[in-house]
Amino acid sequence: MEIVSAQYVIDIFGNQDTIKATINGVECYVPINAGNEHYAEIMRQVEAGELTIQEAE
Amino acid sequence: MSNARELSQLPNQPGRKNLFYNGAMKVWQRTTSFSYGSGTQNGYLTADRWRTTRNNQSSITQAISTDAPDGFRYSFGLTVTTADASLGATEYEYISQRLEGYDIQHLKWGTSDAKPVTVSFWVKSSETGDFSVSLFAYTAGAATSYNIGTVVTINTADTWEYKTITFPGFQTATLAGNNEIALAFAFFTCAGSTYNATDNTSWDVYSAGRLAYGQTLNLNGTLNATFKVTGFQLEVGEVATEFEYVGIAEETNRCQRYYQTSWTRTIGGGQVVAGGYYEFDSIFLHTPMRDTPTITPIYVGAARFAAAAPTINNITINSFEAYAAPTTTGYGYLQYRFTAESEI
Repeated sequence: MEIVSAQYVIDIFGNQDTIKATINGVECYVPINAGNEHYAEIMRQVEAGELTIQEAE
Repeated sequence: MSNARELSQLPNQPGRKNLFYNGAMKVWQRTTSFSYGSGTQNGYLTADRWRTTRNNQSSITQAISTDAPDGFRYSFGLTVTTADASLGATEYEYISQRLEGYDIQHLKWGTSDAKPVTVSFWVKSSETGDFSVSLFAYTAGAATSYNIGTVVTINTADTWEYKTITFPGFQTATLAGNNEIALAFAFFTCAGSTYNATDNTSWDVYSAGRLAYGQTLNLNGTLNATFKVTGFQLEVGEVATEFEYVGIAEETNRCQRYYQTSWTRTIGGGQVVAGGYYEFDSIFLHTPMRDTPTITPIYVGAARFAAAAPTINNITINSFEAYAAPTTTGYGYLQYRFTAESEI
């Protein structure tokens, strides 16, 4: 799974519950939930030092 | 006779016997054809619920086919478009289906009463030889995985052959019991020496050498080689029985627990006000998903909104929200589609 970018997203109510990521060349929104395959892979790559999740804008 | 007594004398409700999803290859929500080249793949590409995993230098086209045995409409086909004649030790390719713990409790795996299971399917290959099939069992959090396998022989080229394999029940450890991966089945089109040299004919802790023990077929090594399969069934017991047909509406709904796509939706669609105001769309998914899904919004068209997909938030197994801010005031809209994925 190729993940080239990841950034937290805050909604207009201030909730931070998704990560905007580009996975296999497609931009998508990943829930912050360990049961989600994409989130698990993002965190694996973060822990391995291969990926950094950018703060929300 | 009382109603209760009459009911007690009815035979047990048969239930659904085929543990596989989309065994007849009828549901293709993503696409009906996908080509990939040299390198790795690890994900769901075409037919619903059938996952591709590989590290190989060949190029493959994976597609739906109407070449199928009697009683089936479709098969899942692989065609080699660039051959990898010299198979490296760490090269492999397999197609698998992963099942969650909720779906396998009646197997009683992880206990001394573990029931055997039988896999049956149809296969048609341009190349003869032995290919490996394997079952995997996973403890909670996939902390430990086990597997067992055997080889299946393609006896005659370009001929539909019916195959059945019975595996003993798994007794060793308690498996994942909820919506996590608990069991998987895989068949291989090639496997280098790293993955095919350790006997896996009885259940044991997984290791690389046990992945595809006995695999000698290298489908990926022959240009224009084809491999088609359909009619997959995984059932309790030691006998393969007639394929259990599932209607297209029901099968699609079942697959949508893991992946679903939308029609074109609209945010705004009327007078919109620019200057920091947002337009919302709250979406209910077709069916609740296995776990909180990844949402991929796909831009379709816009007026007075930026030409970009909306932002997604508040994702649950049932719903999510999409929103975007108009760029100018007036009649405007933002059209988009989405996919929701919660595969294992």
